[in-house]
Amino acid sequence: MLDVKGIDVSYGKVQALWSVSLHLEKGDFVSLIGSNGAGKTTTVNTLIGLLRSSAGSITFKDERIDNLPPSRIVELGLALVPDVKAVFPQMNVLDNLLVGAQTPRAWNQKDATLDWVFQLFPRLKERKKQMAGTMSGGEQQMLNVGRALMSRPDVLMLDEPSLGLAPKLVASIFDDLERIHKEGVTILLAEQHVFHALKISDKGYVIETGKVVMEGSSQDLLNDKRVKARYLGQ
Amino acid sequence: MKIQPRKGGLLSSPKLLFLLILLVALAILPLPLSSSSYLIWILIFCIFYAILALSWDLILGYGGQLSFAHTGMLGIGAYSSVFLVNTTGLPPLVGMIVAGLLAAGTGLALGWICLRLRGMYFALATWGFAGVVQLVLVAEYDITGGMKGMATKFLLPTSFQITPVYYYYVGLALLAICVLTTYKLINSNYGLYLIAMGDNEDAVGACGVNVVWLKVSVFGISSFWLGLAGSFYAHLLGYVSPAIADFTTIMVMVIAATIVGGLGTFFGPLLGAFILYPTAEVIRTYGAGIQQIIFVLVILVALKFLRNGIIGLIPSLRRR
Repeated sequence: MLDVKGIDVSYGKVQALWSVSLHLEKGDFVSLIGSNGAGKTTTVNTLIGLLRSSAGSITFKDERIDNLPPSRIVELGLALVPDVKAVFPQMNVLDNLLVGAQTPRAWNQKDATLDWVFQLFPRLKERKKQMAGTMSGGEQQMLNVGRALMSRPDVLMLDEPSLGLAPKLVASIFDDLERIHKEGVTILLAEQHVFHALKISDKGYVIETGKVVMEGSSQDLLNDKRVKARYLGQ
Repeated sequence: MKIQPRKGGLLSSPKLLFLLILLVALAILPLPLSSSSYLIWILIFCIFYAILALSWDLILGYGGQLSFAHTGMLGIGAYSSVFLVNTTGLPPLVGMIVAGLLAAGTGLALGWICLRLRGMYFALATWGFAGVVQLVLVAEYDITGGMKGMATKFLLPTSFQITPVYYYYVGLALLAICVLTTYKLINSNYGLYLIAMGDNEDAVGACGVNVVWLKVSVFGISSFWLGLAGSFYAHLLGYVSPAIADFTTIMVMVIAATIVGGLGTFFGPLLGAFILYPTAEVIRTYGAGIQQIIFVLVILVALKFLRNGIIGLIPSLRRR
């Protein structure tokens, strides 16, 4: 469904990704793990079209998307949940969600999607009229995820949904992701909570200083000596 | 992006009702004043500044883009209309529409060029644009008449020149169209994305909204009203000079009206214009230049103590 082949990405003269390749099938739950600065955000931002790759190809549903603008990519069914501070603070929860339904396809079925999102996150329904900026970090993260779901994505990408959240909330966000996955959404999760991420995903990629250094089933990675030493402190 | 209304019918909103009451009130306002053409003239300029302030609010208060291109667009609107009317003899009304479209085109082009710039850099580029327009108007005196400007046709036939009331109603019609279309725009999904862009430009991009198009188009829409207003101004006075593109008088008034009235609110800029222009009239009698000094102080005080402007004191009208 989503096929990334050998992409290079640079910020000006500084190259951030070297020949990164990823592959997602329909129904997959894939995690992209690595420490701060490894290139996780760069990867997902490139996939959604906010950054451009200088080499390689990105194919989504048999269509090259590496030269499409974000608006087209979202329309095709890819969505990104950016980092935790990305809600629209001066807008209420409902309006925040509606911004997510911006493609014509999503706008036409926005009422049904709203029901679905409210069913996934009842808390958002309670706070429909509240200004997003006045909600707690955990609630804002729910809103972030809900807003991305409003575009009716086939593949949902999340950029460190656990960032800045208390451990208890981290666990609950990961529970939410599992539920969303069960609803049939393919997920690509960029995370530095390596243990959590590998626990709930089927497949994992380890990224270090801009290169994919390891890939395999999450179970294998959890048992891998290098992963254990580097990320799990064992 | 298809523009579609959101949240119920327009008439169901109490704000729209308020808006209509406001317009009706403005429509009957000249009746008791009709003996004093001086007061009517003041009201006409209030309307002129209300259009300017609302279009500035649309870019900054809603879209979050700080632009100083206003006076440049006014200049382009006013002069292009005067050129057209003087050389072809077309009625000024045609000139106004052409001026609006030409300014909108310039706005689209400028928006496109300045796209990569954000925040202060975008503001500086637009400021530069406004400065260049004024310089050209002053320096190219073979074409523009330089500082002495150019005479042109009046908007209305001579028989209507006896009293400014007719001009007041033309201005009010312009304001009504501007206000109602802006209201409709803000209450559509377009307005939703615009407000979202003002809140967090990156996040709205990540949602897949076409930020490029949003920025360019809002610049174009706002410029359209400026071109129209500039042309109205020229044919109202039957004369145009580089003063139409003067930053220190016009832009300072626009900024003060928007911020004092309430930045990012719908009624704030309108209210601000109707309060500040008459104030400026009073201050003017005490000497040149004092107005700007006082207005800048007023802007600073409002920013410090009245973050949501005067409209912010009325909770039901505060939200956009």
